Amino acid sequence: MLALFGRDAALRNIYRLANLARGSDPLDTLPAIRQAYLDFLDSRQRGVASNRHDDFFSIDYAAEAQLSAAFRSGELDDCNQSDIIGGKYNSETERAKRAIARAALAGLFALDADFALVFSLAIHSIFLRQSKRGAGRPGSYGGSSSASIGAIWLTVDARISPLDLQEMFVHELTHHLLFIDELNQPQFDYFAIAKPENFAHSAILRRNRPLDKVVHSIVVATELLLARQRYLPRGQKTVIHPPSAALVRATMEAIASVDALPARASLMTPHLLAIVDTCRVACRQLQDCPDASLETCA
Amino acid sequence: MTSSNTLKLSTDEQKVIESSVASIRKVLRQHNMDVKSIVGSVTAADMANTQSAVEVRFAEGAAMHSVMNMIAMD
Repeated sequence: MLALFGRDAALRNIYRLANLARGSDPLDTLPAIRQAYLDFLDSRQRGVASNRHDDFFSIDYAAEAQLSAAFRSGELDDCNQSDIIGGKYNSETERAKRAIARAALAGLFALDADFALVFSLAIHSIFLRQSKRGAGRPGSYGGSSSASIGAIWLTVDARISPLDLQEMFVHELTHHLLFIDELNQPQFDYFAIAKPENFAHSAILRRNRPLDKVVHSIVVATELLLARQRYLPRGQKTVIHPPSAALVRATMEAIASVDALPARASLMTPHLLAIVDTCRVACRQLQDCPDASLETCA
Repeated sequence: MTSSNTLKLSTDEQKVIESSVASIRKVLRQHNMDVKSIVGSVTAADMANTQSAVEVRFAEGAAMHSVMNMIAMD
């Protein structure tokens, strides 16, 4: 959403939520908007408190338990993702992982000022927990839940690089900006997208999944491709996400599977269809790029 | 409710946070931008849409809540 629609669009969406919780003070500074946005989240997200500390990682055990619990209630639970968050790491491991994640995030902030600004407004918590693996479900490197907007779960797996983590931050911020967008303008007919005949093919896990997951995967993949093109370090392999040429192909296939849904115009609002179309245009431009890495095309 | 009140940070950790370029306060202060010009284009109709969308999304006791809870891994 940030690369596709820009910093100001994201800021306006956050402001619109903040405005619902504003007190008597004007919302004319970024800290004031952030404060009111967190007030809004606290007033609406049952049992999940936002982190008011100046550090994304400064979360106590009780708050972390609340955030983890927010991943446990979802009926469109096609990959058993509601039982994916595992136990805590021991304190030494957690500190080491937190330091790695903090350094990766600081590096990312230095690469793109707009990312730093929007992330700092939209995200309040980053918590570390193990991932459970189970039948029919791969392990995860982290995730986000619409029941705890502003909070990101990470595993900081030992196999991944700082670049992988930076891509995870781009990935997760995109989910949150889509959640925030949905609080401003409806996106889906949720009862209809629960039906398997309305599933489509996702861009990253490459599975048949409920449409909300598929559209999120399309937008996440497009944002990742654009972030790689614009500011992420180049020439390094990644573990979590595929190379750009493969990712853009998979994203176009996911878009085609959405296009093929006979009921697509009633499953998604015109607003969301326009977002998917914007992804389509961006991916077509990337597909037309003569550079196989896709990372040097304007 | 805030979560920072009971957190015990070591002195070293506190120093890291204070010096970090990823400190939330530092990032927001660095952007000395004209917020009013950006949010000034938000209209009363936009705000009405937001109010309506929020009420649907967070409808108390509605079955929609758990249907709509999106756990994103893809």
